[in-house]
Amino acid sequence: MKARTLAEVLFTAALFLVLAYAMTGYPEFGFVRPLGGFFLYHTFNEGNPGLWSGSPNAVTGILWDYRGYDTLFETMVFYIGTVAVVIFFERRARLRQTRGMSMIVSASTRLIFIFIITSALTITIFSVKGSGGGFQGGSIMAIAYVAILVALSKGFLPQLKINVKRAHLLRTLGLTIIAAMTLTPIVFSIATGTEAFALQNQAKEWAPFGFPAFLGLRSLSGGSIIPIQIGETLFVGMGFTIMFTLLTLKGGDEDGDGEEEGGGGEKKAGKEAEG
Amino acid sequence: MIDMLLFHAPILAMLVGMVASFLIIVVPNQRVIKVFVVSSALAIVVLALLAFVRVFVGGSYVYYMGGWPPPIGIPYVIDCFSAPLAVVIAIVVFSTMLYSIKDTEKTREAKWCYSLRFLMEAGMLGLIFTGDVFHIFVMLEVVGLSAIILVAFRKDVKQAVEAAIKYGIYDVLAISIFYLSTAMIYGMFGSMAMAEISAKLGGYISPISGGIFASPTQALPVIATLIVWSFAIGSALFPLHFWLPDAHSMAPSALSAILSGLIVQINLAVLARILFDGLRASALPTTAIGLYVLLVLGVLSSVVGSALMLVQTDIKRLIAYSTISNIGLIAIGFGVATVTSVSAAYLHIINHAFVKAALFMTAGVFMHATGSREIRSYRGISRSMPYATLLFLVGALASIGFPPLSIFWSKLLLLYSVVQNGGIYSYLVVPILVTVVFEAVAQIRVLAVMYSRGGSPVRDRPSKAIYISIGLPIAITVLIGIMPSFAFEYAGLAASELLDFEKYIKVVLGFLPG
Amino acid sequence: MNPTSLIVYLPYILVVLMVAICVYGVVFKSNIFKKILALFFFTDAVNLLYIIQGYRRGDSIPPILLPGMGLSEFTSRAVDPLAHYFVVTAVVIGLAEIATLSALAIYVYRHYGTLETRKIKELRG
Repeated sequence: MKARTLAEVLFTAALFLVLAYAMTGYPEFGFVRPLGGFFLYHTFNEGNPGLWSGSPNAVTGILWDYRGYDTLFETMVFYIGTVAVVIFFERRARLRQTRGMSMIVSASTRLIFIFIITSALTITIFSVKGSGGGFQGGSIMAIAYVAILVALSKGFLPQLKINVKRAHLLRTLGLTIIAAMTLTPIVFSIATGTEAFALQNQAKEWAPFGFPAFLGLRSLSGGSIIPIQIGETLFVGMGFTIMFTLLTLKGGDEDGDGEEEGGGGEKKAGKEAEG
Repeated sequence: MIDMLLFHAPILAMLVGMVASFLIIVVPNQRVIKVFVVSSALAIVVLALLAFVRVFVGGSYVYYMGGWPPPIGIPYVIDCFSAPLAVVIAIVVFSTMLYSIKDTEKTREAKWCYSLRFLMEAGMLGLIFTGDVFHIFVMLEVVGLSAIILVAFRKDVKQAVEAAIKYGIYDVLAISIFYLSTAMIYGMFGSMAMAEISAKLGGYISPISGGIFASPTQALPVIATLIVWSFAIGSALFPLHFWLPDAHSMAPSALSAILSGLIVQINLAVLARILFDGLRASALPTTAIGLYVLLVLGVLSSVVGSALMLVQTDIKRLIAYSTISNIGLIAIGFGVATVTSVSAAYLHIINHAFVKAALFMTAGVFMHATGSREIRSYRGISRSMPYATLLFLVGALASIGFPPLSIFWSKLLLLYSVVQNGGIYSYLVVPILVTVVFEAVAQIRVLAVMYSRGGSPVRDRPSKAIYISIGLPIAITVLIGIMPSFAFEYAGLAASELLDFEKYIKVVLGFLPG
Repeated sequence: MNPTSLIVYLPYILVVLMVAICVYGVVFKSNIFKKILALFFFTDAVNLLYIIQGYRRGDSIPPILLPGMGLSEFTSRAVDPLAHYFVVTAVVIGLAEIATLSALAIYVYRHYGTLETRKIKELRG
């Protein structure tokens, strides 16, 4: 036992020393590498629209334009995460409606719902101008569900017409929007024989296809970024809703299944909300 | 128009997989799901073949994702190395889809299984095509996480969940280590495109992303070792192989075929791409340490993997250990790093993918028919299931390296390459021959049981779709075996393209700096 | 190595220490939940490395071009957006990892009644 501990400590120390040796070859931290500077300079450079993404927020520009294909599959990784929860926690059980909401509760709940979803969409659409994005918007959208759950109870869910099947459909709709925006340049390219690339946003010298940089209004810049972000919001919001629904369904529906599992599920839900 | 279709074919293949993965869950009807699955998988095969034709006719080319050239965006490199692997992936995944098409009738959850498998296919295609280090990280996640979930797909089986959590923790660790190395690469080169990294190692200063920011002698060997470490876990090289036999034997058979036939080898192919084209390991002493590590791990895992085959009583574990030993041979081929040895490794990846997929699927047929995984319960199964046993016979003989089946040629080429290289490398003949002998003994033992007298009646017989799905890879194995000259020629082409980092830089960046 | 360079390298050293501890946790700790936590912190450590490498010392601002700010001022003051992008991506991916692995861990607990790897030994390894 003692020798084992010694080996473990030695292994960790050796790993630390090797990595530290490598890192001391690095320059002092605190400067921006030229590639980062390129994105800063070009992301909303109206003097040179051949290299811009049309988004004043450089991170959003990278997210869905410069390195959009990464984000596309990052979205699919999140999809896999929700599939994991669906496969492992899917229940045939239906929620029982406990008792109806009073008029006031119902109305105010609807109001809060509308408020939360509006703020989610705002954060999504103006992610090109300020901070935010599809994922953040989607997380906020999912909070609507969690808020109802915490403030009221599971019994109210049927009245709000939230169910997993509907959430799946909406989520697929979100992904379909993203996929359609990805495929549009390819279809254009094959149809006309000109160069255009998957997930292309703005027209370039070597690839003339481009979405309009300002979607009608001067303030809605970013071309295809905003529609894609809305799709992402829908997808992420519904993905989280599916996760939370399945994780919270457990305790109440199968009374024999025990309380401690429901507790575990809710703890997990809380952890994911933080993440 | 048609040339544009060819140009977009590899990306369309990926996107078809991605779109199919989320559309399938809203398809209501069982019958429609079947048609949908088969047609999407077939479409990917056709698109991958188109990409292969494009490379064969028009030469290697680079696809700028979103229209952005390398240091800014993600380049996809479609060349002699990646295009044939895409075809292999598409064909193997297609045959496993066909193999498990009946599952849609059994469980409601089967559509999730297909969804994840399509995504996994898209991820694997992305892994071999991409020329960007961070994109490799994302794609490893896509492939790894869906594989983890699929291993635990039969969630009520104790062992399946245990295998999945073991596989999950170590695979995620491997990917995290790779993520660490991407951070170190970004800090050092200020760019994620492998072609730029390689060019910068040759003294190029990019107008967009600058030169090298950290001391290469300190950080480079560590980065190379970290990358090899990460992919050694992902492709189960010997001291890090412990998760593979569990995961590959407990997964549903169709998935075992993908895991064992494709994922571990795609991992090695990507590692070779990073080492040779990204880090110039064949020319630069600071990163060549990665190749030495790979060589040592390869020797160990080929010998140990094949030796452990001898003591297995469970058919799927036996095939899984065979994968470890074959992965070792591929690692030896990449580690020696001459054109001949790399072409042997490349050929072995392709041959082994088909053979291993066929073996796992046949094992699944036997398991289904007898209800047992133990080899001894297959006594005399050749009487009751002659065709399935024949397919297994061809697969097992191919995996031994029986002439003139396909693996014979790749093993022969590997032996020839180490002898040709001379020096200390010629001693590698010993582990390779030991591996071949051990594997032969283990496989012949299984075949002897299957072709012996006696035996019990089987529960049911496989459907036509299953015969087609196993017959397809077996037919390709035989075909490559009887016409090896084309395969040799092509593997040589792919290997020289892989080793020639200057050509890679030229293809991706459009010019050769310096 | 003089003291000033130690301070300059301190963030790197801390990241590397965190990485080493996390690898220790994943490889040597026997509780599955601890392993999963260590993996989670591993990703965070690397995220920290990206953030450090993308940071600009001095008068830095977020990489969002606000109205009224000149391009040259923005380029010379904002932090590296690419590093931030990598972190955003990795955070989402880390979330998916955690969801998958903890779902699996719950099932392991259901089947075996424990999360100790020493007691979970149905398979031969």
